[in-house]
Amino acid sequence: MNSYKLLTIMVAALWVFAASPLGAQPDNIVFDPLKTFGKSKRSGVTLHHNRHVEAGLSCKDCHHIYENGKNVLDESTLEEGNQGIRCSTCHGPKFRIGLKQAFHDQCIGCHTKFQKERKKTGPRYCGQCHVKK
Amino acid sequence: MLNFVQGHLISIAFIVFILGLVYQGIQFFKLTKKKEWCVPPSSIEIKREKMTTQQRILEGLRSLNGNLWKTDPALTFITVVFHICLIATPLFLLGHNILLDQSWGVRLFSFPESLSDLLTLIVLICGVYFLGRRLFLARVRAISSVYDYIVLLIALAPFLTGFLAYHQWFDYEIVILLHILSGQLMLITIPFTKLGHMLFFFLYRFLIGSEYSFVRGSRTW
Repeated sequence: MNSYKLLTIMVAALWVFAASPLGAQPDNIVFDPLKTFGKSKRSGVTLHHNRHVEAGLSCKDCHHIYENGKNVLDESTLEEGNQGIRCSTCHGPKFRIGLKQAFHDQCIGCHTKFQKERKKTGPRYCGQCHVKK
Repeated sequence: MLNFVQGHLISIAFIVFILGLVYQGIQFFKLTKKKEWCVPPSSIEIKREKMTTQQRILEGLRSLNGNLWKTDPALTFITVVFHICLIATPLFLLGHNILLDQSWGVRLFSFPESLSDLLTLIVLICGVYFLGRRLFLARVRAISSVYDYIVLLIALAPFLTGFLAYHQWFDYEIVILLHILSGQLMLITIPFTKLGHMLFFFLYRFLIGSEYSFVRGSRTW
């Protein structure tokens, strides 16, 4: 009887977890420059989203909408399929920071910062992200 | 260790490179400060009469006859190509410029990556030609020592590892680390080995050279 109870609780917990925003996040996001830019010099980049969450980063460490130097993003808008939260909504050819530079700044910038602080960090050199197939 | 190579060692290499060149430049002028009595070569009097542009060009071309262009045109051509590619490739490489932009917010114009790839290959082919000369030409082998081979290797290593890194052959993590290390080694060794001709070429060619051509008899250095 006890084991049934435990199983029921576990299954219920799994459902709750799956329905929570944390569970709904994609593990890996592939940025394909061919799709975005039409042409590509380098291969696409796989962003390991779960590794960033596991590393203890908060959503707003990366996702942002800046107003007067403050990140005013509402975290509840961060849902898969919401076109308004895509990087390309703001970072495009018409904006100060283009999409490619935004990606480079965001990834390499943060990884370098962590390296300088002697923390565990991610890749910083071209071929570590743009992996040739 | 890894952090050191990718961080502070880059700054150290650049500081050694720049201060080393400044030191060598100062040494050059210091060691040659003492005046030596000399007779300017007045026997070769060049007539500086009015020449047409065509005559000037012809005379310029004729003056090439006395130098390496006449004795070894292939080497002259290859060495010019080698040096142009050697300097242009790393400066106008997309990857370098993106990293530079990340660090300092400045960047140079970048070649397309396929062009950089080709230029790197040209540097390597020229390097193999130089190595071949040292190995197989008796008159060159006679004056080659281990030092010459090491210097050639130091100059080529960043290009070989860069080429491998771009194509992501072998283990990328190791290759890119070797690429950074070999670049730093080259920067550090430039002022203190015969790679110093990066600076001395200009001193020899234009400062000492000018004494015998532009303003004969007066020392400009």
